[in-house]
Amino acid sequence: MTDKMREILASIRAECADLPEGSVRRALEFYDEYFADALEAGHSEEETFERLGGVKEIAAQVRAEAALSGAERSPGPFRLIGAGRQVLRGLAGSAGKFSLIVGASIPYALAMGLYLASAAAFIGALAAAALSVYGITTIPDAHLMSKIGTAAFGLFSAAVLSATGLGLWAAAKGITRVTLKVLRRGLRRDGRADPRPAEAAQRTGRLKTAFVVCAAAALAGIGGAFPSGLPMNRRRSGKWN
Amino acid sequence: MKKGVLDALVLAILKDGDTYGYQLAERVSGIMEVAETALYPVLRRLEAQEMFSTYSEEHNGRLRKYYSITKKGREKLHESIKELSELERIIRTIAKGDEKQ
Repeated sequence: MTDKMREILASIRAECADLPEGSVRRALEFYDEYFADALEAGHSEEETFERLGGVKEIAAQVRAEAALSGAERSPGPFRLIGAGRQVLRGLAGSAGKFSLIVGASIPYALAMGLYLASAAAFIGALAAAALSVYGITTIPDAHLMSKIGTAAFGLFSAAVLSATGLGLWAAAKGITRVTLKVLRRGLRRDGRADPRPAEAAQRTGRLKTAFVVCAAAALAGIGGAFPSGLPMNRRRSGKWN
Repeated sequence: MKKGVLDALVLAILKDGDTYGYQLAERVSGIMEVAETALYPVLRRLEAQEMFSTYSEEHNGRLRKYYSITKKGREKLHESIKELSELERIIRTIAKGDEKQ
């Protein structure tokens, strides 16, 4: 291994310092071998390094791959957040970034909403269980029916809320898998992988302009409605006459 | 549109014989325009899905990792070819409509 290769691999390792050791080791082995084979094929390290897009580009792909693999192995809210962040980082400056954000935002928001709803259901289940314990321990035996009623209601609510929480969590995991597929597809179709990057960038530019114009029109519509008052206020102020 | 094409291309190259990372990248980039860094995530994922197995052989005093397609990989390639043939038929129909105009 040459000094230049050692330097490049050390830079990649430094960029990926916070990733699991296994992911970094596998990536470094791959690129170590890649550089050695390119050198044998008559390409200098600088040339290969340039073709690969530099340390940041290599590290971004390694990071995105590690985050996506981890999230696919065990889907969860934090892994989904991590995968989303890393994929967007991997697509920095790419024409596909904006369309990926648009495409992935709906399943992403849906999955996160379901995770939150599931967490709320589990918290509710804990509260219901606490109510049941409260009923058993604090209501005097003289009020036996009230005691049994509170305990039974608490336990029943805890069971229903737990089942709801589990169902929501399972649904969130399913949507997470869909979101990860969208993210992976976005990563695979990064700007430089597109055969017509300039046209793709123009298309993205048009999409961005359309989005900004629509948002501005919506804001102008809302803004226009308020100075003159909402319809019901207009009726009250006699503007309908 | 390019969804799955890179995966299928990698598997098709491996179907012709075992190969190593750099050679695979050279062959892929000779057929379709793709960022070279895009190959590593594809290889990692296909390996995790057991589409190919790997083994190492000594080469010029160092170890070189070779990729070898599995039965599962061949089946996946067969499926991808069927899907892409369907896509090709649709594209031909669209192109024919364009020629008529």
